[in-house]
Amino acid sequence: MTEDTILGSQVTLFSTVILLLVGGLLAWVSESLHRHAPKVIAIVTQIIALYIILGWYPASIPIEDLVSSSQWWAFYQQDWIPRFGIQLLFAVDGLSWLLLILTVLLGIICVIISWTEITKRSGFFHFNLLWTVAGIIGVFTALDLFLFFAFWEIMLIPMYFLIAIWGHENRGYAALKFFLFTQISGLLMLISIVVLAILYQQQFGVFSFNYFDLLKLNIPLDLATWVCLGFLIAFMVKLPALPFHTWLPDAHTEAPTAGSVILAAVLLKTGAYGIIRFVLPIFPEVIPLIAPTVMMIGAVGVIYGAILAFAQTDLKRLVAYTSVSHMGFVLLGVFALNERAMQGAVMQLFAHGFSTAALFILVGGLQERLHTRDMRKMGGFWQLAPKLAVATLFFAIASLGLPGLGNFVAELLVLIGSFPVDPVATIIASIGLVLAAVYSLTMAQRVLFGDVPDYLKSNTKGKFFLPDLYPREKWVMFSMAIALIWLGLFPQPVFHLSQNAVNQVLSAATNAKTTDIASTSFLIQGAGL
Amino acid sequence: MTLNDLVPITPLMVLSGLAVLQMLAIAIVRSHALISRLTLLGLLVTLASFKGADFSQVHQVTSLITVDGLGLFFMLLMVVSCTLVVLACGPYVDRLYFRDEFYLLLVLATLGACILVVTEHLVGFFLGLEILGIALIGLIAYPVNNMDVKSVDGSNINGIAADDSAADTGAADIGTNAMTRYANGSGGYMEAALKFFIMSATATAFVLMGMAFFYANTGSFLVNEALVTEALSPYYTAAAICLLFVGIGFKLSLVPFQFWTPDVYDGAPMPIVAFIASVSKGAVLLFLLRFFTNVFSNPETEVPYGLVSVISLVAAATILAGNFMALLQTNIKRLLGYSSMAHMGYIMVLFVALLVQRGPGSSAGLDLVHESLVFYVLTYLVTMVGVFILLVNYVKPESDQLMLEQLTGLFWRSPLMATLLTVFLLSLAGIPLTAGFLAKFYIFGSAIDQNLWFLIAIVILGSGVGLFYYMRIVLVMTKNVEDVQPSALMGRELMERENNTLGTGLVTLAMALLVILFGVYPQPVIAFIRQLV
Repeated sequence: MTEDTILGSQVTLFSTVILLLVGGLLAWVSESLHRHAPKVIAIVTQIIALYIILGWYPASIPIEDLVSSSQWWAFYQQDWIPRFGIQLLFAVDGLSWLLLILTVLLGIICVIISWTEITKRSGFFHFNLLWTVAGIIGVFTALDLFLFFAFWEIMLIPMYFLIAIWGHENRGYAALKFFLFTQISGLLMLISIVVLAILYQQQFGVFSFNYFDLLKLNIPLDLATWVCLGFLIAFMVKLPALPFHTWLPDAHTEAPTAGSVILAAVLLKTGAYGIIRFVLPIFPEVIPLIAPTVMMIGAVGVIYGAILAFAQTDLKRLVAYTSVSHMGFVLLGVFALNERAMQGAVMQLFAHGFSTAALFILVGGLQERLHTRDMRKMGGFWQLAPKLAVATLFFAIASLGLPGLGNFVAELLVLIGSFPVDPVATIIASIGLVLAAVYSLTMAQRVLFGDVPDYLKSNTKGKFFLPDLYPREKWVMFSMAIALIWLGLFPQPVFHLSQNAVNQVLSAATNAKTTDIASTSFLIQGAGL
Repeated sequence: MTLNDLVPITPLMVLSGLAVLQMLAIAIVRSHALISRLTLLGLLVTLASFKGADFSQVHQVTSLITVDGLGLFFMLLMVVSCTLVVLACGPYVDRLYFRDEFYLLLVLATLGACILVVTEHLVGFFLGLEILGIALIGLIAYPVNNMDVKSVDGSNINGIAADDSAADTGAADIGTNAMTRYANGSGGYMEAALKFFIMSATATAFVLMGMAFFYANTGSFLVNEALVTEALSPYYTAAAICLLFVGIGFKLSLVPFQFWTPDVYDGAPMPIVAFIASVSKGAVLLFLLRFFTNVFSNPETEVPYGLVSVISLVAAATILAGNFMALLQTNIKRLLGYSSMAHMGYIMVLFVALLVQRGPGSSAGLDLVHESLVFYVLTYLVTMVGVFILLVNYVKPESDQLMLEQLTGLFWRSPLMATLLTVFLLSLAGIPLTAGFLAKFYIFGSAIDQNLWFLIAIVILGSGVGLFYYMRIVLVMTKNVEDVQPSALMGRELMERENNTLGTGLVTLAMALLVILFGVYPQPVIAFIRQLV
């Protein structure tokens, strides 16, 4: 690896993951010491991780000049299974750095909001939470495809436990569905990864799963289409894109609040990250062929998610479908293959992360107070719990894309960027903007305004009663609102940070190598490994 | 045969000597402590005899036995598995009346398996197969009429009387022996043993006929390329291979010879299930590998296309049958039986890759298949021994059944055991960071190398289905104990630790740690295997 690194912080990449794993184990066993010990350990571990991640930022370089310096900020490389050329290869660039910050911040927020919600077996809960975060950090930093796949699977198992043990009524079914969808699509990705490695060995003589080596591959078109599909299906399941999204409503609805937040705000981003990091650069020949279809899938997904969100009576399921809708924008923007659209997609990852996380926290808070998610049993909360209501309205408006907040910037950029490429898909997606307003405002209307349902009468005074936001919830909401306003008013720093990655991906994706391989043969020559 | 020839087969000789010593010990004095310690000591001596063994050279000891590095390694695996089973089955065996022959039969079965892995001669194959099979029959049926009632209902009456006349009444008086279990319809030891015996005998008959065709074809029982190059008639070749495959397919529980698997796994005593799942399968797999490698070792010879398609079909059918039948199971032992069938299907994909190897560079591909097979057998052995020894903790000979509902809430009742069981299940399912994932990765690698796309699709489908029932077990373990429907338990209690010894716990822990170790840091193991292959 010949690229320079800006920081010499070699060791901390791998050890961050290890830190979180060990922290999780500590949290599990510390439950017997004190019932709050797991939560404290979880927060402290993640704060340390956040500190380490912040330390990777090249502070010496002004932010506008980041794009002209080296793309990779920190690097760690070590042999793992030399027989197959598998290494422990971790690297951080601007895009993954931003996603790491998002992950750990939301991890800390998850611990805060589950302070009172999780009472049983909280040690095991925080163990699973920390291991999920560790897996996600691994996914965002691994650049050896085998290692990436290992972390891809690792982040599934603790998530499965989170849903299956602390979830709501239908949790077993939802957890299993989530697990099966992701796992089977992951197996398809594994096949594609192995095919890539074998192809590399045929062309260059050595085995490698290294991202940088595989970028140099010259793949015959027929084979490339199938291999790309293997990756794409796995990431589309995670994103989730339209035909493969059916796990999402169940998993999000039945998960506990912290589980929903991690799922919606972070796990979905791994799918988008995978497409940006792996699918686009490695298969430049295939992208022009599939881009129109995928962009249309994204656009239709926007409308489909919005319509289904509008039709829901279960508040949490509504928010889950809004995730499907918003991620459609990401798919549209990424496959437009120009800088504006892709930056819009990247911004959408963060804006959606915060707004959806906040909405899930609010819904979870409502469920904790009312023990129901049914919107027909809600109404008039504006008078009862003003702070809760303001927060709900704010994030509902953020979700629909009000200018001044992050989601607007993201969606606008995506639409502007993809209009020259595929006007029809863009028009369809913009209709989704209108539908987003419909479902957001309808939700706000049903929950916050109108008549208060009778059962909320408290016994003593005959007045209605709903506990307002607790202080910790207030602070969480406030900070996420600030983040969204910041992203909406000052989005440029984000673009500066991710510019390098976007440039690299776009140049690799549009630079279809001229294939010398005359044969479009489907077969790999069996040359042994 | 000189004295020097005896050196490579020292482990075999030590095992045989151990068997003789055990028989002497039984004749002199019946004591569980004596026989178990003697067996353990003998097995440790056998393990020590591997120390001076030469892993790099091939020694031919009479035409029957060919000791090479791979054979030595597999013999080591067999003996280690036997040791682990012996370590772990103490309290289980303690509940029986006649305990000593258990260890004798175990050692004899291991001896048979060891012969199987070092032979390239059909008579050696037959010897090993039969010694293993017959010993297993005795082991499967071992607790029949053998319950020590003293340990069951506190009275001091032994279940077996000295003279035959009282034997029947004795059996009828005991409410908890195998006959009553059989009457409950849950499948008893006798049923399993009879099924195994009859089907094994039939398979052996097929093997004998195959050997006859083999001999008619080449004039010798040595397994080498003479079968195809100097064949008397291609029909004899086909007949020989097919008939021998019947016998091998029976032992490996491949479709359509797999009907004994669920019933025997269900009805056999738990430590013996560990033994069957690991030792007998592993030994036969190595012989099959040697068979195909030697017969088709000449790159000029064409592998008959029919053979490749038949084995592909068998592999696909086994994977699908094993996984789909396991979906419907609530009996843990049957579920694991079907799952082991599915794993044999995955291994057969390796054999298809082996047969399809032809052309330039095929030696590297052959090495990969060998390496994959050895690694897969190693991880499969570790995982299966681990799972079944863990379950030995929880059963007694009087109630050797295990239903899914009995595992409810295991995470909260005994977190360590539940975690270990989860590790084994994840390894069987092929989740990364476990050895099982690397084994599956090897299979994918070998299959992709040979463009076996149909079989890869089947493996993916099977793995997906497999995930469902493995995760269902994990899900049940996480449920709350209060949520269990009493009717689902069917009168059984939740699993509680019965056989609480150091042996079972240590073995389980060691196997789980190995599974994780092979998954996370496999390089030393892989390097060692590459040396052997």
